[in-house]
Amino acid sequence: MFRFTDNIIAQTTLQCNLNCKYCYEGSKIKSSKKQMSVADFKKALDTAIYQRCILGNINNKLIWHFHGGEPFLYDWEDFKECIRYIHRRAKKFPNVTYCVQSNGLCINEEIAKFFAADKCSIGISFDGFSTRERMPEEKTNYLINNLRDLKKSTGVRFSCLSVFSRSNMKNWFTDMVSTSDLFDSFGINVLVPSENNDDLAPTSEEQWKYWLEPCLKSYLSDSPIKERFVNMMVERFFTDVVLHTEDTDIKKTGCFDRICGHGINMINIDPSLNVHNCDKYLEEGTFIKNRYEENLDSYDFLGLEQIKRYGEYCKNIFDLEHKTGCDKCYASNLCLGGCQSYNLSRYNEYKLDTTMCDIYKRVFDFIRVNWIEILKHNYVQATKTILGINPDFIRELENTGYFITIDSDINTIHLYKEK
Amino acid sequence: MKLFCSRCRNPLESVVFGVKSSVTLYDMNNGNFLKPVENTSETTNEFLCQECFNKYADCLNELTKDIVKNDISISEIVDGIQYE
Repeated sequence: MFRFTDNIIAQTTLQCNLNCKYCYEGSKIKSSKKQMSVADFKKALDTAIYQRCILGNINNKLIWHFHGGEPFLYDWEDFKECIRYIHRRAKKFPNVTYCVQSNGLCINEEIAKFFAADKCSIGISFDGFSTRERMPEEKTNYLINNLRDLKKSTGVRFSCLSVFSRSNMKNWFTDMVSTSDLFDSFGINVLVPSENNDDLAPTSEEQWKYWLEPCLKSYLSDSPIKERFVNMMVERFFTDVVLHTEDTDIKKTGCFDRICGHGINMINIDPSLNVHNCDKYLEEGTFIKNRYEENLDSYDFLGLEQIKRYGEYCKNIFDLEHKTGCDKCYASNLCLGGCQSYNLSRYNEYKLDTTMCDIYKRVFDFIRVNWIEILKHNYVQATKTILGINPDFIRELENTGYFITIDSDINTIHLYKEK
Repeated sequence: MKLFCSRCRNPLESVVFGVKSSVTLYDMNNGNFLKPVENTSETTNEFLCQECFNKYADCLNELTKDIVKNDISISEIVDGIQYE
């Protein structure tokens, strides 16, 4: 079941010190164990390594995501032992690594020093200063100030992940700009409608107005807010439209692909070592009882069962795309189509989110019109191997005094001006 | 040019499985590999439709269940690889 999995979202603990209204993790999950023992962690990691790196390829990527609940409520000595174990395995399997996603409230100097020394950035769940859905405003201010102090004193690095909803959307962009000294990168999860959160889910126009448009416009400056999904769309535009490229290197997939990686490149493990397709919306939705679940010890020779499920999943999505006309849409390479884990738990079927069609076309058109300005201010990474440049775009540069440069070592393009 | 399933001889469409010593997944609509199943440099010698691949996978799983011994723990295997 791990043969093709490079992301394991592991709920090492279901304990949490917050009670966010929109949370889909943690305490609602029906696991007989609330904490993953170190022995179970080692068993799960070695099972994944065996299938991924021994039966597969020794250089295959495998990222263990410490998740929860709140991961730093996991016993700290056990946590360190788990990380040491990952390092031990990484000596032989060099692309086995880890990351952490936390609400940041438990991070003290000792923890910050540990992660600084380990050169591992900590993901912080931060929605902005204006929302009370996660925690009171005074607590948010305390958190950010504390993290700033820790960064200054220990050198630890942080990245930011926000839940984008109606309670924070109007101030989200300015809040991210004001914390760009603290966070190396930004990402969002857009809150989708559920029985409890219908009033908080932003519309497609609101997503454009408060998230996509301001982020895209920031690319026309020297200090862009490179939110991960917007950045992915910019990179994909250049990779697929401006450049001639070849898909020789299989990149990580997951939420950011038309065929999302749920159940194949992304898998969730709870503290009882039950395996699920994805951590999203595990315990919500009318049809949640139909969700895919397996035990760690289930037999799957060379990942064939995984491929079977994935092949069927791809076919379902392709059929949907053909019905909706998505396979002919000019912006299809930027579009995600929606969260299929969510659709399965709420509607018991795969669906494509057509409410965002107009929005993704707007994103494509914006990048198309402003591609020169974007390249003047940014080094854009291609997601595939660069073979050449689309001559239509070279012609658009004529008489501007600008030339495209390609750095093949880091697979990026940029504009430079002829002196 | 149409491709046909090596087993049932039906025309191949949509998702196709390329099988040799490993498995590759193709999108027949545009000829691309489907991530994240690794594409290999070896030439695929069998193209299967979904139904035939499912039967192939079930058969292999069944055959190998008895062959694979469970008296060595996974961690021992991984440790053994590590310290060779």
